[in-house]
Amino acid sequence: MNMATSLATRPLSEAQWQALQPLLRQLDSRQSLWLSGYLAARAEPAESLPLAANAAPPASILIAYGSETGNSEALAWQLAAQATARGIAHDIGNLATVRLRQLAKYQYLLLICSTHGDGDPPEPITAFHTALMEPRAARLPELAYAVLALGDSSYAQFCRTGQEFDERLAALGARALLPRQDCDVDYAEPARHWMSAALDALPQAGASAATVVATATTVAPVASAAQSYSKQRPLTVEVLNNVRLSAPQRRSATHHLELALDVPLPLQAGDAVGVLADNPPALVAAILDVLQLSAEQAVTLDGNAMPLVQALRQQRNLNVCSPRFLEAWATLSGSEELAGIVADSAAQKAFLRSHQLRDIAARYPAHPEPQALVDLLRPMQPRLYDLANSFDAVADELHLTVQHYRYAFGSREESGIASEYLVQLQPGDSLRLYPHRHARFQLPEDPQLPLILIAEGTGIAPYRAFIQHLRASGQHRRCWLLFAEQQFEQDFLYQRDWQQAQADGLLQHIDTVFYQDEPGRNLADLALADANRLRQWLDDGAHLYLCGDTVNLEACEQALQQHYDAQRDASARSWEQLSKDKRIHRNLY
Amino acid sequence: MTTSTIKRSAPNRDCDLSQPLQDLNANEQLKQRSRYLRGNIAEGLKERLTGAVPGDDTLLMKFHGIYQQDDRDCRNDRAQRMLEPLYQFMVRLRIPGGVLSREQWQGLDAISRRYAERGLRITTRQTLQFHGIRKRELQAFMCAIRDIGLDTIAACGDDSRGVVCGANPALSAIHAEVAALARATSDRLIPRTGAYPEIWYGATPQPPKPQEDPLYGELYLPRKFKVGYVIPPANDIDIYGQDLGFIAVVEDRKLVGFNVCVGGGMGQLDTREDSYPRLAEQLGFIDSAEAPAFAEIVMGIQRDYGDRKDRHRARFKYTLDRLGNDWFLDTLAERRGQPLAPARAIRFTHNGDARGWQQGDDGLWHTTLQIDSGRIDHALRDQLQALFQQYGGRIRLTTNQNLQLTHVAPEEREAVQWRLEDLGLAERLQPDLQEAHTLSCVALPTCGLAMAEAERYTPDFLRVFNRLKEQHGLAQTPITLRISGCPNGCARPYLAEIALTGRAPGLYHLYLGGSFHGHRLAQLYASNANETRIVELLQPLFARYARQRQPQEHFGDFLVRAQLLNPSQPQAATP
Ligand code: SRM
Ligand SMILES: Cc1cc2nc3c(=O)[nH]c(=O)nc-3n(C[C@H](O)[C@H](O)[C@H](O)COP(=O)(O)OP(=O)(O)OC[C@H]3O[C@@H](n4cnc5c(N)ncnc54)[C@H](O)[C@@H]3O)c2cc1C
Ligand SMILES: Cc1cc2nc3c(=O)[nH]c(=O)nc-3n(C[C@H](O)[C@H](O)[C@H](O)COP(=O)(O)O)c2cc1C
Ligand code: SF4
Repeated sequence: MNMATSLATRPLSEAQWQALQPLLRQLDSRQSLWLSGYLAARAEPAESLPLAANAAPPASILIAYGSETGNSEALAWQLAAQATARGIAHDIGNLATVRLRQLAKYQYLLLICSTHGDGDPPEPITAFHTALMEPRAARLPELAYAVLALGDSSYAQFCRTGQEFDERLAALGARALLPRQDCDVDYAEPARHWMSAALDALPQAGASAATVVATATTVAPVASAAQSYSKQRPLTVEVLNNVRLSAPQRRSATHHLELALDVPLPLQAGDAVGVLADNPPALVAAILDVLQLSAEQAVTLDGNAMPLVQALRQQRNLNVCSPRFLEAWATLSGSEELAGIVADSAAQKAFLRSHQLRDIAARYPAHPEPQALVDLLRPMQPRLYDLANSFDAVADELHLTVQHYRYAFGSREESGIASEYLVQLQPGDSLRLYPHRHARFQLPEDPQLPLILIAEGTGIAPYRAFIQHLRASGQHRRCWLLFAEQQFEQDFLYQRDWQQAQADGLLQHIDTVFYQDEPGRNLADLALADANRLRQWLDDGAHLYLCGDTVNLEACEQALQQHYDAQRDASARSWEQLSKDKRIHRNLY
Repeated sequence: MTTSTIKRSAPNRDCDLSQPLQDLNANEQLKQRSRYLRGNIAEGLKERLTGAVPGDDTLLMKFHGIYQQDDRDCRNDRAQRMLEPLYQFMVRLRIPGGVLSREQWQGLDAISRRYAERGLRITTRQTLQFHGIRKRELQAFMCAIRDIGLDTIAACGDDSRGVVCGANPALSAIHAEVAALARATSDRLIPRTGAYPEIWYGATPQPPKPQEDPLYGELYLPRKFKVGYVIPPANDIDIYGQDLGFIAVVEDRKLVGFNVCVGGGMGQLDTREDSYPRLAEQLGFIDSAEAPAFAEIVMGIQRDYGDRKDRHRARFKYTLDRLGNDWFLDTLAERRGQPLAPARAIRFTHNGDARGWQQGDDGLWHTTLQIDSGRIDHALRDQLQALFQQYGGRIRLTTNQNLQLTHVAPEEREAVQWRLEDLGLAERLQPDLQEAHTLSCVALPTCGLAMAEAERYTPDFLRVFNRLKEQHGLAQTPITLRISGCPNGCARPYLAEIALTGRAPGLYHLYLGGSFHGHRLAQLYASNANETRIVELLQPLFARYARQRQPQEHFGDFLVRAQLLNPSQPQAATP
């Protein structure tokens, strides 16, 4: 989300505010959450913080624009500046990144948008436009809006997009603050009038002397149920968006998933979620088929009754079988061959490595009872995926970066169960997950310490969350990102985020290696290309993070360790000591 | 003609070079800061976080012949994927007069295979463009171009652009003489800054010298400046679309000099009233040897008086309209030391390329290979590669986006013809009549300014267009047709009998009534028309033309004579 932070007018004196800052900077998101609840509770009854408790909630105003060649965008910023000058707190958002569901959080929408193509919306906002036009778009009865439409009257569909927005918002129950203004290429004058009329129509800053603008987007709502989600009691969330980040031709594509989070989870940057995936329906059907079992037969798992198909779909691992399963299967099938394999532990191991459930069932036919079958199978294990966003930047969503895992199995190629399930999810689908803390993969408390962030592939996910957190909490650490993937043009995961972070001064250095573009180069080469910097930063107390593929990152760490230990002064700490000091953080899989 | 003795009131100079820098357009300040076109290009090339060159340097790179672009076909998809646009570079060569050797062609072929996408592209100013070059390979690419004896200096930017030169295969000696002058003019007018070898060839960076570019100074020109030479009766280069045109005057098979014309230009913005295409006006005559020096003087006048506040009004055509021909002739006479002699009689008959084999007066043979929209795709590139494995002649690119085989010895001609047939290239010598009279600009997906398709749409449009012509028995009548993806007019649409200029995907302005030899501007006939509408509009006009035309009368001339164009009479150049 690309919204500028809200402008807040605070009821605190400058001295109070300053005194508060050092403390606030140290709080992690759970602590902030707790504190916000604590203070809110303390504020009751109303006298101690009268405005926060009594006054009508501050008008939340969004200035939004849709622009292709920059005219509407420039006007939106002009409008924002005028609003600021009048003391009107507001957010400003580009419809290219604003989500429809975010609109519902605002009471006022001032929308400036042009028309392009042959009466089409500006290219960047196509997704928003489509979402708003959908028949099932949510109603917006609480919203008041005004539209400034930019266009060119020499086109047949003059200001069409602005008109569409106007009509659609009205149809969804929103109230027009003032009539839409359509502008031709000489839009400066009419735009000026519209802006001042629009600002006049908003509740003025003076009205409630000290409006407190909660930074609503940065603080997760409090909910007591949060702690109790677990593997056993997963939270069901809705998929908002699933974007394939990789090029179409890449087999093991990486996807970016955005999930709606309506209750807060006790997680922060560096943490993960456990995902409970479903087995592919085709695999479940194939197994029911080969075993001639009916889907609807009832079985009981952990004391819960459910149809067999659900147990196979959600609760059991249908790929990898255990030795116990194999022994039982030898009996069930009455196969001597299988009994022979089971008897020899080396042969059994090798067999299990090359045969999955459906291979075994096909080769050694047997007809187990449904309950016996589910009892023999291994339970489906949750898979962990790191948070790719920070709740203090995007509170009500959960972002994951998932690579579709594929591996060779005998002569066929198999897909990883959970990753395939995840990358195939569509918006509107739901998914079960639970919070998973990574206590050892957190940002250092001391906000001065520099960070060295090393990742391969999806290992970049937690760093996106780190950077979002640094931005939202106003921390200015030195940060150095080192990233490896396949190809610069196709696989630079979240490239725009990193460019923005660098432009904003959140990331000082970004070094990349793309294996296909520069064969032979690896992550350690990248870090050691500026070995002095590495040493200097570590001497300054930097924390170093490694995330992603175990083999490659362990190799990277080893190379860094060797180089570091060989070159260090006697007085400096050894790599092992750094590790003991908990300054080397690993998240490898 | 005016005489230089009459002193006129001083020209209004409130928007030119004489004004304080801070009042001028931001581009002027950028040029001034650039240390003679160096900027931070060299550092930007090293930045690995992006495939683009950061900041304002892209503007400076144009002076070095390089445009930063991105593949617009995948822009949306990449934005979704949180990737930056697929940045890449278009590089335009400087090939004055369009002449290449066989070896140079082979080098260009190999370079395109190694570094570029979509083959090679012959432009409407008879040079080559490469698309899709990536940043990390840009320097290697530029060195490879140098190694075959070519460069890209001033192929774009606010400077003297590629100097074009028309053809007259029948008058070989004169053509050679004029082509040599075109080359001399280009060499004389290009920037001299050391930035080019430093950035692209890795020459040791030098601190900029005080007068590093004496002809230009730190601010270069207000805008691009285009010079062309033409040898009647072909107006192949569209002399009336040049900022400065030299029209060869031939008497007794000798080049006696040039009529000069000034102030042509195509570009316009649909959103501004004070923006328009303009024909160059013929103002006088000069001796042939003077041409390069003359070009320098005219360019100097534009440098000193051109608009540097409003970039759109900075072209020479607007300078002339703002300050007037009398002012120009006076200033010219002053700088040149004498007034212009009166123009001589000349006559143009067409603006296409000659077809079939033509023999020059020196006995050597020439022919034209039709290249649709100038695009040499991978298949055609392979065919040409095979052709040029053995070939004794020379190669010439044309402003009609074609490739010519020139200076083929009589004894080799037959062999070349056979090889063309073997390779399936012979049909390009006698192309479809309409294709031979059609031009289209690059537009999507690389051109950042395109509003509609051009090059990629032309084959589809031609099918419809040819069917329409057939219905009216016009299949054998050539009509100049030009399609450009936006109003800038890179295919010189406003000089065609029929033109489409892009407005939005699938929508075009329809222009009609230019002349077959390019001396009259076409007029806007319909706005924002789609293909169906265009056909509907042309239908009745073709019907009347088929019935009522006079012998040899071209479509554009007919429309004017029959007063079928609204509202006022079209503007036409002097001859
Ligand atoms: C390749 C070519 C068209 C073609 O299909 O062959 C071309 C292509 C472009 N032209 Fe052009 N112009 C080309 C001949 C012309 C001509 C024809 C001519 O010169 O005879 C014109 C009209 C004459 C004139 O200059 O007025 C022309 C008028 C423009 C303009 C409008 C200039 C103006 O002052 O109004 C632009 C836009 C600009 O400069 O701002 C432009 C800009 C462009 C750019 C570079 C777009 C940009 O600025 O980002 C196009 C690159 C497209 C691409 O992806 O390759 N091009 N352009 C021609 C290359 C010529 C060369 O080799 O130098
Ligand atoms: C702390 C942590 C964080 C993680 N974060 C992320 C993240 O942010 N993004 C991400 O994409 N992934 C992440 N992962 C990895 C993720 O949890 C999964 O492991 C991965 O997606 C593969 O799961 P899957 O269900 O698709 O594959 P599975 O179906 O579990 O298969 C994967 C593995 O099982 C093996 N395998 C399965 N069946 C067989 C068989 N019959 N014979 C031989 N081998 C077999 C494969 O060889 C492979 O090693 C993380 C892992 C951990 C531990
Ligand atoms: C390719 C193109 C197509 C356009 N199509 C339309 C159109 O169909 N209707 C319209 O009213 N304006 C149209 N316009 C005009 C734009 O809306 C107008 O220029 C506006 O000021 C652009 O605002 P923006 O810079 O915020 O995108 C078009 C502009 C371009 C460049
Ligand atoms: S006419 Fe427009 S679309 Fe075509 S190449 Fe030129 S600038 Fe691009």
